[in-house]
Amino acid sequence: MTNNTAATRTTATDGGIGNEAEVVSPLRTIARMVARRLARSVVLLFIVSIAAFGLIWLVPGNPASTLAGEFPSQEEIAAVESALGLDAPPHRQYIDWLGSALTGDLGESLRSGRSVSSEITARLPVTLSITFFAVVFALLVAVPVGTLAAVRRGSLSDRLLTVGSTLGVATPSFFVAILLVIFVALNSDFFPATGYVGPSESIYDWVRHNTLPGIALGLALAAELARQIRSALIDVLRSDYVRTARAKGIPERIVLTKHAYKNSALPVVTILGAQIATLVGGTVIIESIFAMPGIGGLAISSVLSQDIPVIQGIVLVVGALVVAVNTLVDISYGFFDPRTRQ
Amino acid sequence: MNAALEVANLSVSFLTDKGWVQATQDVSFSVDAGKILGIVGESGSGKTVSCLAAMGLLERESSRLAAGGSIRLGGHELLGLSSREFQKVRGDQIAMIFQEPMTSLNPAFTIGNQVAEGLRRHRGLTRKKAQQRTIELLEMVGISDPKATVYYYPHALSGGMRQRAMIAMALACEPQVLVADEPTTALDVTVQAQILDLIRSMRDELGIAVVLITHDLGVIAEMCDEVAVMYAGQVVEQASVDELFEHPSHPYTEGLLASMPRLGSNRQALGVVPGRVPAPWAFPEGCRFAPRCPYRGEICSNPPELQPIADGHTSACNRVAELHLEGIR
Ligand SMILES: Nc1ncnc2c1ncn2[C@@H]1O[C@H](COP(=O)(O)OP(=O)(O)OP(=O)(O)O)[C@@H](O)[C@H]1O
Ligand SMILES: [Mg+2]
Repeated sequence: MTNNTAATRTTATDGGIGNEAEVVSPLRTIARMVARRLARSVVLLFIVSIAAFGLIWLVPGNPASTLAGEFPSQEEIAAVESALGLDAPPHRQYIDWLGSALTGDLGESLRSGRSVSSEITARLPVTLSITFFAVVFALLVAVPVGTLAAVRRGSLSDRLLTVGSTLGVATPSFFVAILLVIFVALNSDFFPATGYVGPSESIYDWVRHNTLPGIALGLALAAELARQIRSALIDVLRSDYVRTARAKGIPERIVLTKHAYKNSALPVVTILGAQIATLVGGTVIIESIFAMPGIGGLAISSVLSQDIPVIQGIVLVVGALVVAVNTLVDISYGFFDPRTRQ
Repeated sequence: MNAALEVANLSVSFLTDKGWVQATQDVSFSVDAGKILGIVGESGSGKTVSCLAAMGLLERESSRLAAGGSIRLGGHELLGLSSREFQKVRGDQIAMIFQEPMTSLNPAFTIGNQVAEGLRRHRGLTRKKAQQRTIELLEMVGISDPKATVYYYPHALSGGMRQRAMIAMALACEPQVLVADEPTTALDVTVQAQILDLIRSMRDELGIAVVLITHDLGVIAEMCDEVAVMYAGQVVEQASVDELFEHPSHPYTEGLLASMPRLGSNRQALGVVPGRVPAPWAFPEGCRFAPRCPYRGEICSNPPELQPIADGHTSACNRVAELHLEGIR
């Protein structure tokens, strides 16, 4: 074949390139897409902040009366209220609260008097670590298992996955956690049953302390993801474009890892995004079983003692995290499916 | 000289709810370099299955080829190759384009990436060289702004443009044979003509052999040199285009010709073959066309064989010698 053949060709007149405006420059479409998603997450964050602040009115009792000591008089309560700014109109209170929150000041704990932000930042890494290990564990299990089941659908391994994933989804994480403590942690020196070590102290100990909690928290997610990967892959492997790739003589391994994975990723990241809030919520019980000083313990004790500023801070920070993860998921759609970039 | 592609006695069975079911039986056809072979027949007659079999694209677990078949590409037998060896041939020496340009390109990769993929694999071109060659190919198939198009994702192109990109992809490694499975069925009428033009001029310029599957005898008349007519998993007649149109030698072919829209005739008046192609598990004994055949006789309960009736003309009709079938000129 030579390359001087173009001149004789009838050039196409059938509408050609679709909507010209949509395809100006790939970089600009991506930048626009990211900007739009970020704008949306700002709106979401705003809503989260209102919800967090509004908790004051949902919690029974009055923080000022709690704080003013046992059997306070009406005047004592009023004094504390004005000291806390609780006598100002609600929108004023909200603006003040948000203003300081934006500078990192979430007020002080009613109980300990320590700054809420430092309470949270001391414990956040624990919760994030457990969640991170859960996601990594879930992906490490779900990707190969889901792929194997899809490629050999109908086989024994496929049926094992179906049974296993039903079990996995249905088993409560605290139960898995207890089993892991009894049968693994208590029998091995490698995995400790309790405590937390940060990655900045020792990566090795960080991994040791977080593996079992991560497995306990991530098992249900792994089962769910494996199922999802299997069904997404089965659809994609039947698609016309996979047949095209095979017709080009692309080896099956590359058909799978290049052509099929990228198209099956959407449902998978969607689930990850949707499950992240559940996952963070699940850390509460995992932390307490493995005696790890995370956000969950702080949340429980501050709810029990009606420590409103701490509760607000936790809701705000966790809410912001969930929004951030979902924004990343949204942006990743644009990577996996170029049609969503518009 | 060897035919560019010579397929003989391909019998494909599928594993279905009803057990193993034979979808095609002893399908044979061949096409020479620089020629276009048309395969025509109603839906379900086994056109796609035969071509997928020739490409080695049938799923291994749910299908099988009966022994005794042969797929020769430029004289080299492909059956019996390991899947790895077949992969090296596929997309390099024999390529295929499909009916649905809208779904046949991967939505997650750019046109450039997908056209270059075969070049990089089979020819070991560097990214840069493959990109250059891709731009040339896109230009060759009549895409107006090839330098920009390599960066587009399929969703930005119209159906006709996508089919052009598919053709560029198929021709990338300069194959000897191009299999086109109803490449225009999904396209607008005006675009259909352009794509057919393109395929014909590629044949003229590159000297490739083309297997063109279609429902449309009009397309056959315009494009092809040879025709194979398929019915219920079998080739029932094979001839040069002129011969087939003038002297059809199978009642099914006559029926297809009679249902062809022609200048000056109105569509209502068209004859159509009554009934439809049976499913593979319900193929009749004897001649499979007999239940729909206006000329059926007692002899038709015997399975007919594809027999030469004139030079380069074969038919699988038990009564071919007695019948005077009507062609068109
Ligand atoms: N994967 C499969 N499993 C089971 N049966 C199949 C499979 N693929 C095709 N068949 C059957 O084989 C027969 C021939 O199908 P084929 O797709 O080759 O027809 P065709 O001539 O290409 O029709 P069309 O014009 O609609 O494309 C049909 O009856 C079809 O149901
Ligand atoms: Mg078909």
